[in-house]
Amino acid sequence: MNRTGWRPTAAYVRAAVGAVTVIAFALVWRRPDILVIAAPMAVVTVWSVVTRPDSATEFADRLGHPTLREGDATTWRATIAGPGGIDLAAAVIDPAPWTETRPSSGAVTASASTGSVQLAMGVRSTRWGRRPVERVRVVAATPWAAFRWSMVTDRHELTTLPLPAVFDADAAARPSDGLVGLHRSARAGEGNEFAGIRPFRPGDRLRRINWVRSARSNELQVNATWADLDTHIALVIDATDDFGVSEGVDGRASSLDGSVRAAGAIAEHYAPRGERVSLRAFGTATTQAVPPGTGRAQLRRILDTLARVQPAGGVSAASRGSVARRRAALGSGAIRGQLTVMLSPLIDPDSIDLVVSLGRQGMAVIVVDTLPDHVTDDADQFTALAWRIRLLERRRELRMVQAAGIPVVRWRGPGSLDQVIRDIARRATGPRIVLR
Amino acid sequence: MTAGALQRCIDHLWLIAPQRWTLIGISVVAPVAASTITSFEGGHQIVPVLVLVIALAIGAAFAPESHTALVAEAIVVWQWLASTDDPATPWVVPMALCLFAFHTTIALMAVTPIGARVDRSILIRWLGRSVYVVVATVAMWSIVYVVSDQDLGGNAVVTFAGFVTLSVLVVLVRALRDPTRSTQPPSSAAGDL
Repeated sequence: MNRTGWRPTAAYVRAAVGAVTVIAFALVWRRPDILVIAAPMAVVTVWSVVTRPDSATEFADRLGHPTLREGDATTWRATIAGPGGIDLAAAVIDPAPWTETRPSSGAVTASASTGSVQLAMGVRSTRWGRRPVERVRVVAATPWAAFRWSMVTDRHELTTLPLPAVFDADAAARPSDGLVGLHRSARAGEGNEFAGIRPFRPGDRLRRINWVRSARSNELQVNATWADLDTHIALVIDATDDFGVSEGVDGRASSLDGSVRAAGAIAEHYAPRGERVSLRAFGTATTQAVPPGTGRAQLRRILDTLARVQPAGGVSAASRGSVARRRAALGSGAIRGQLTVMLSPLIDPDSIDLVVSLGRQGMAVIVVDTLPDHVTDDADQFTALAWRIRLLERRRELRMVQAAGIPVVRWRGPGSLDQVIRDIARRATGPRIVLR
Repeated sequence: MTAGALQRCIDHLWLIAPQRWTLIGISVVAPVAASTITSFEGGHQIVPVLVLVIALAIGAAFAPESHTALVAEAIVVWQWLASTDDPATPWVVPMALCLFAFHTTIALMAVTPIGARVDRSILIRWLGRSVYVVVATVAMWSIVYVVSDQDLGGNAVVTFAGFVTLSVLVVLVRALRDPTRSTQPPSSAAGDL
């Protein structure tokens, strides 16, 4: 709510001064024809004085929805009420990146009706993130624009949730209804679902012994089962930098756009199906993490957190912390998932070191490469050349990562992770060497 | 002008809505027409005055909140005073209405954004009001014509009294019929949000 006064405009001064002066000339110089010239101005002046606002102005504005998905639109509405003489109102919104308005000019006008004016403007957000809807300059005027009232609104907070990319995964799709999620655990352990028959090992329960098979093979055999543990997808986002151009949901996507939308897609695929999904972003200005959880509420938490991800940008590597510190922070809980999916452009050498160190700890890690193809498109030939050199180095680094047993895949939407998830599930059933 | 300022100027022009270009056109043509009518009535064209009026009209169109329009109107009125002698000439009516059109378009542009399309209801409302002004102007000229025809010695006091009476009548009639002058308490409309 805001109250400001009405003040006369240049038009009112022009009409009043013009009328008075010309009428004075007519009287002094005995020129009645001049009165005809003064007549319109005099009528406008008298009309303006009669309709002068005589009461306080009430203003209220609001945004239709404080939270949107990328590409969705909402409506900013304002009501100006109060003085009886109010005739029209106009509003102009300040331009902002990744925000489109309807009308595209960002300016609207409306006429008064029954003592109030209703203004409405469509606002569309084309990129995820938390950005305010910019200030709106509002002007109201009386008949003949003689008096005007103006104000600038406050910014309205608008959270734009990422629009998850299309994603589907068929790997490990043997549903076991007795578990929490639809997908069984990839690890053998205590559980109900039969996994196979294996030799007896110290610690195995006696009731697991398969006596028939043991009698045939002359050694103790036990029924192995899949662990009764729902799948835990730990999403890790590398937000150290944002490479490439971000043109919103309708244009080219930057590396962080790709990471956030892919993370949203994976979370949207697994969380509603009962799988535990967690999120942690590193390289951000502030720590962004969501502990493991399931369901639509967890999905909403993850999308909300993704919308708050901001690259550290100018923050130095020293202040971001060493790889060991980052690994310690990531390993504090969220990353100890059954399957860790790291979404990264893999440009920062520290990120590559982090991936390798996580893999060497025995964690099942998948790296989703989100570096956009257009990153080398630069008007400056030297920048483009530098990018090509860096990409050559990066190709060698990726080969080293893959040699460490960590799959690196490009984000392609549906089925992007199927093959690597199957490989990891198969590998999880075998013996592993873990560096300690 | 630096390259940056020139670019800003071009960007500013690019933002102007097509409808506003029409208003700009009216606001430039109207004072030029008033000056031309004055020259026609006076019998000779003063080119420097016409050029000055054009420049001021363009300046007022692109800076409607300034007092440039007042200067343009003053020059045209002064030109009329200096070049015409016939107090009952009918050319004073179109000249006065041209100045009125100039004043109105500048006033409307001053309160509307350059990129906005002015709502049709606003234009209709302003045109409706203008009809009253046109009627008042013609009535005023009729009074002046009758007074001049009767050779009453140019009694400006009588003319002025007639003008005031007519203006008050017009405003009263308009105020009684204007639906926007509501008696509804302002808080009730705001509370609907």
